[in-house]
Amino acid sequence: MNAHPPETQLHDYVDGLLGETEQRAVERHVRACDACRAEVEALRALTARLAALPRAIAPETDLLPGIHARIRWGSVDARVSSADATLSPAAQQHRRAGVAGAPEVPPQPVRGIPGGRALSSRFDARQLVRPRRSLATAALLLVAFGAVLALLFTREPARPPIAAGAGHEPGALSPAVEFRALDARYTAAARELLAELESLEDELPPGTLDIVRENLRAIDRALDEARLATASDPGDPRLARLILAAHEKKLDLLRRAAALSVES
Amino acid sequence: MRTPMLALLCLALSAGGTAAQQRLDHRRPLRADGLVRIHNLVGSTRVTGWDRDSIVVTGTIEEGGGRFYAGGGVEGVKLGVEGGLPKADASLHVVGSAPAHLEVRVPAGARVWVRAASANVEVSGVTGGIDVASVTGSIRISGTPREAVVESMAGDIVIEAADPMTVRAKSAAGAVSLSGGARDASITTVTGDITVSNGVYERGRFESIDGAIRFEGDLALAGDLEFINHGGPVELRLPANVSADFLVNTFRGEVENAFGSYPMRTGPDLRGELTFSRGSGGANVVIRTFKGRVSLKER
Amino acid sequence: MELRIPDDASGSRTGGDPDTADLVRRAQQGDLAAFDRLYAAHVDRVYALCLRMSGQREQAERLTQDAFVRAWEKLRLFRGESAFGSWLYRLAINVILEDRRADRRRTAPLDEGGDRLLAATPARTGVPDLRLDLERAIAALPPRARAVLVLYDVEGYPQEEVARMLGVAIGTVKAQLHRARKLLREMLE
Repeated sequence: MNAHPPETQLHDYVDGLLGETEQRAVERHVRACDACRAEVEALRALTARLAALPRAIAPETDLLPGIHARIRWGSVDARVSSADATLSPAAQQHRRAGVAGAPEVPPQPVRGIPGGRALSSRFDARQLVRPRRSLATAALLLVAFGAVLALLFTREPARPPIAAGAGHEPGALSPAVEFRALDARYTAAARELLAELESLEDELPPGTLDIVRENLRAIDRALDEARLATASDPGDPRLARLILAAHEKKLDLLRRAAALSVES
Repeated sequence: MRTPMLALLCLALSAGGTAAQQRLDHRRPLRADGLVRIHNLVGSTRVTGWDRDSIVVTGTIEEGGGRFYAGGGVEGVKLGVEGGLPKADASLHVVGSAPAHLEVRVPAGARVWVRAASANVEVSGVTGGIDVASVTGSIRISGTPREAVVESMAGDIVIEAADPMTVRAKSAAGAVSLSGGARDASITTVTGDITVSNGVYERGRFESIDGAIRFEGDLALAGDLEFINHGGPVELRLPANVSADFLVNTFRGEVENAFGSYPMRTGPDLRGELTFSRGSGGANVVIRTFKGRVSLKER
Repeated sequence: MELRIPDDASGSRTGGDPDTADLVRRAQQGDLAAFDRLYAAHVDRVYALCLRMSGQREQAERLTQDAFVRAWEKLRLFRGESAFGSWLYRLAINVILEDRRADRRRTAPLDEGGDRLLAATPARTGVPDLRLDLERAIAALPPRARAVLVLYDVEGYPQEEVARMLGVAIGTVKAQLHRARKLLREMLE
């Protein structure tokens, strides 16, 4: 009898996902091996039970009034309290007309970004760019931010940093302010990724999280020092680049640790 | 805790009725440029390239170390050790599992992928391509893989290239050492030291936060090397007749330069910046630290 | 190669029956009563998904509300290329997945989740004890494994689709699925 197929192949076999040759090979083995046949039968029984679960379950509470309240008042807080937030007449009209052209209300307060909480309850707030909260996409998005940041700071280094509020284009943010916002976003994203990682703790090799935390602390110490230096050198592109590199290191560390939870 | 009867049963079937140490001897054909995936979390894995179109696995699994599995076809093989006893409840982790020591011979042109937790990994004589990741296990790569991607959390990494290669190596707390030259190298650590030596380096990026970075290799003619550190030192030992443009930028760090006394430019935008050229230029060396000491020495 | 076909919420594969299309059109123009009827027709399906993915009742109720509120807001974007039920369902999945990564403090400990699940009354009856045992076991799975198992084994989406929805590689989907099944078997032994 040939070697036992790896567990994952048995699952694929039960799911009908193997190519013809592989399927025949597994079939041959299963016919001859009691243990693997029992495994296959147990898997089939489980998946059958799962597929037979009811697909519709009636909620015990009537959810419609809550939904109506939120639709009318456009605030996530209407769930909790009766609506206090009032909409501008234009916004109300938008709502009644079926939302054509109305800006999106972020479902929850944006964490980690200063002023985020206050902004979310204003219906006519400027739409915030929220990083998608998933390991892969958050990291990708922030790499994109990094690229933007790098572009921002590849102007001639000889130009003095633009002070916030002085002589810049109306409506545009100064590089120093934008950099602080990006710094905050990176920090927030790393915090979320760490939280996600912590929820995966059971699936990680033992000790991984401790190593991750220890190394994150080392990077955070470095970030704190560099940030302190920006107080006396705001907008210095070289400092920004160092800070950016440290942020990317954090994300990379978190992403690599998360990848360890998926061994295939 | 429930006894995993199935795992015991399979162990019994494959080991002839006992759960004592198992000896492995598994062989199957594999194409010269086939793919090999090895999954062995605890113990050691040694992969060696040879000139046959087959893969042979020998070694031992200690009692309680789990069961060996292997599958796939002539284009690719997936093998490893899984399900070590005792199992932790509701967690898939092989906590406290006994080790498995694998010796794997693969066709020299194979592409090799290895995953480990605390297991040490060695790969030699493989030219196809290498991808190894561990948590705390050490990793040693030697030979001339077409390219190598090597990652660890706390394990040390040693790469001895016979010819310049393309390599990406990352370890957070472990030390990384690269020798033999590189066409394109990227090494990053958080606290681990980085040592680069013995060979010609064309493109390289070496980054750490607190580890010590040390470069003793040679620069290719149009080489491009970048060294980034926060608090750890950066030390370059270069031949007196090196030909390159240098840019050193540090905020708080000291700079020691054996290649002449050039003025450090300071000022609001040019904090601690030093630029100079040696020879006819051509190559580029950039060093940035926050407070790490920069030393340019002659060898 | 995959034979699984997810159960379309509207029960029709051809893009929706005329009644639904009419209700959708009216709701798009702001007719709340029409929207209410769409709600009534689909809430059980959406709630079942939210309940299994979150593992506890209060969170499932909140997610169901979130899903319908978002459906109202995005209704103008629905052009009828797919059945309304499928569109609503995907939207609910997005709401669930986005919420999953939000504040962890909202997630109750695992054993609490099982008890709250006991209170759920299914629209169809099955064998009570076995079903509750299985539901409780699903609620006790680690979040990521649970999401994959529910989407693939319960809801019947193909693995590629699950990978796309969760934003992960298909290898990840397989690994999480196989783990979830393994954990379920251990819990149910």
